[in-house]
Amino acid sequence: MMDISRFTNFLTSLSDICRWQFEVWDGSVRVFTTSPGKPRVGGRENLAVTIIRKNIFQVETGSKKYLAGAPLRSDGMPIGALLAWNNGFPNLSPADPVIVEPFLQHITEILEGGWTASADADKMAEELSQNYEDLHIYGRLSNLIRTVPFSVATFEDLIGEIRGDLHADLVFARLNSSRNNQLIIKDDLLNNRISDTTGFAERLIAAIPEQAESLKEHYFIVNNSRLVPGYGELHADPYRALLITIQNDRKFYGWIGVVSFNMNQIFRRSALRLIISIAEQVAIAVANTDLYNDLEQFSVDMVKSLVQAIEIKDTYTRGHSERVNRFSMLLAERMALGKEQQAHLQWASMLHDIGKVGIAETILNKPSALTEGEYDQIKTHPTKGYSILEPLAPLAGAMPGIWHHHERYDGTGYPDGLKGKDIPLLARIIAVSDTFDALNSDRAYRSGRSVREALEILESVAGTQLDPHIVRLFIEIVHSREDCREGEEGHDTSKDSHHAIG
Amino acid sequence: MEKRKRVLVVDDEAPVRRVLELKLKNGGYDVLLADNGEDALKIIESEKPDVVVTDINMPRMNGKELCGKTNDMKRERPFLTIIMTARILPDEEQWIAGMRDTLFMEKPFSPSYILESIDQYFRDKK
Repeated sequence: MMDISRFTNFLTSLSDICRWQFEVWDGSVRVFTTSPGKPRVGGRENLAVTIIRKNIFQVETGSKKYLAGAPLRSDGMPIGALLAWNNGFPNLSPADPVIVEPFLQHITEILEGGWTASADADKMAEELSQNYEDLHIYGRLSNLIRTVPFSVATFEDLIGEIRGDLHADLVFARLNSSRNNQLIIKDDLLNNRISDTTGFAERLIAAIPEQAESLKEHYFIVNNSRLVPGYGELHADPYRALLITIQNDRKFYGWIGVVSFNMNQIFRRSALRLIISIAEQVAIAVANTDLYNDLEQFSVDMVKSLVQAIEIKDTYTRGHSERVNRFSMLLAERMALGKEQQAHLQWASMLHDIGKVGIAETILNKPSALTEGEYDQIKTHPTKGYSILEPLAPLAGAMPGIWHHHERYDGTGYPDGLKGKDIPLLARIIAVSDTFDALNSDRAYRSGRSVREALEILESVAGTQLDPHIVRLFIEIVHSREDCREGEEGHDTSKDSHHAIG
Repeated sequence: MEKRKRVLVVDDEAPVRRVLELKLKNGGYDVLLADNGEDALKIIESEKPDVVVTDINMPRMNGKELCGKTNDMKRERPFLTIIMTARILPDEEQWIAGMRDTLFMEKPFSPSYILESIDQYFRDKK
């Protein structure tokens, strides 16, 4: 395609100055003339066609005719012709062709240079446009990848986006990490082209030759399945496939695969780069998520160890912390506590008695009534618990629940004698769960009460010792849930002073 | 034949203008260009384009101001405005809700998505 729009003014001015007329022909079609109504010479169309066919400068002269023409080229190939004649004819000298040929050549060079430059600029703009597209995809995908922990749902979104962006028929991710061993597939466009996508994906991976050079750069490409050993037999139709490793610091996490049955296109270099860098980021995200999970698991295990430390000392409270935790979380769910509050409650309810590790076993496991001095010792466990856990910054939010779990609703509890709603919510929840479990379990000094009795006692202390609203919710929960009734056949009761409640 | 729709592209970065110009021309639109909001406003008043695609950060009147100033014109002569922005701040949501015929595009933008959105706008208008 010739675009001479930017040169028509130039040719018109030139024509005005030198009295030559110019025409541009695209094959047998005239696309421009400086001589719309002015005198013309005959045979122009024929000359234009000839020039284009032969790709040479040519002159036609006659008794009353002097018509010259030169080919217009793009990449050396003639795509049109520039014709020129002078209305001053026949006053031209015989030497004129010698002058006219270089003159026309210069003009065609200017025209050719012009549209080569604009074609180049268009090409660059197109490439730039493609870069913008890639950048756009990359931006969107990076946002997805950045979510930690990197979940399977996120990965599915990611795979779906890649499929849409590359107009691929099938995109899959094969994760081979110890935690995550699965295949994620997106193939909405396939229209049942493959009957067993899972098997197909696995076979694509299995067919990758181990020694392939490109694997050093983390990919294997199949531009035409018929031409690559091991791939032709996987599907009757020819397809192309891109397989990219998800890996980070030599640690291998799996594969991302892209498959297309559209053989009119090829995988663009930039698409390859895009997926490689996405795969790198996925690897980092997976590694981070593993670390995150390890850390979280470590915290949980750590807390379990701490809980065991109490249980070793205080044999009768075995399982107490876990039950208090379970009751507390049921209450939290019922009360629709926020996620963060729930997390704090998890820790606080598990660890509420941790301070008991700082109290003598003889007191903790004493089968008879405690002396006042011993009871004072017992009363230090919430604050001791605080001291033990204080260095653990992530538990800061759980601290109020531990410190205050022996406060009483009427303000006569310890350590601070807080009253009513001044007692932190987490502590009020733990107090109810803790009291119930203490009543319902066997202790050093008595056997546990039945659920019914325990609930009756809870009810009787609602508003004095415990938050009445939470007690009511707790009773509702117990009635609605069978699994809280494990201690149903609990025993009746000896009396005991301080221990009885809490 | 239906008259070709005209799109005004406003961005202070030349490559962005060039890319959108090419994409939109190939997509069948006539393209007008401006590299700042002030010039864009003059062109909108005199040339009455059917679509304005504008960046948000520009010297001499930014995309938001431009959008605000042309919002009332749309009462009589509706046209589509596409604003390209890195991200939408929470306090901008309400401002956006007050703008007529205005779309927001995330940056880095996708030229083909902008073209699709414009095509869609004219399909919906029919």
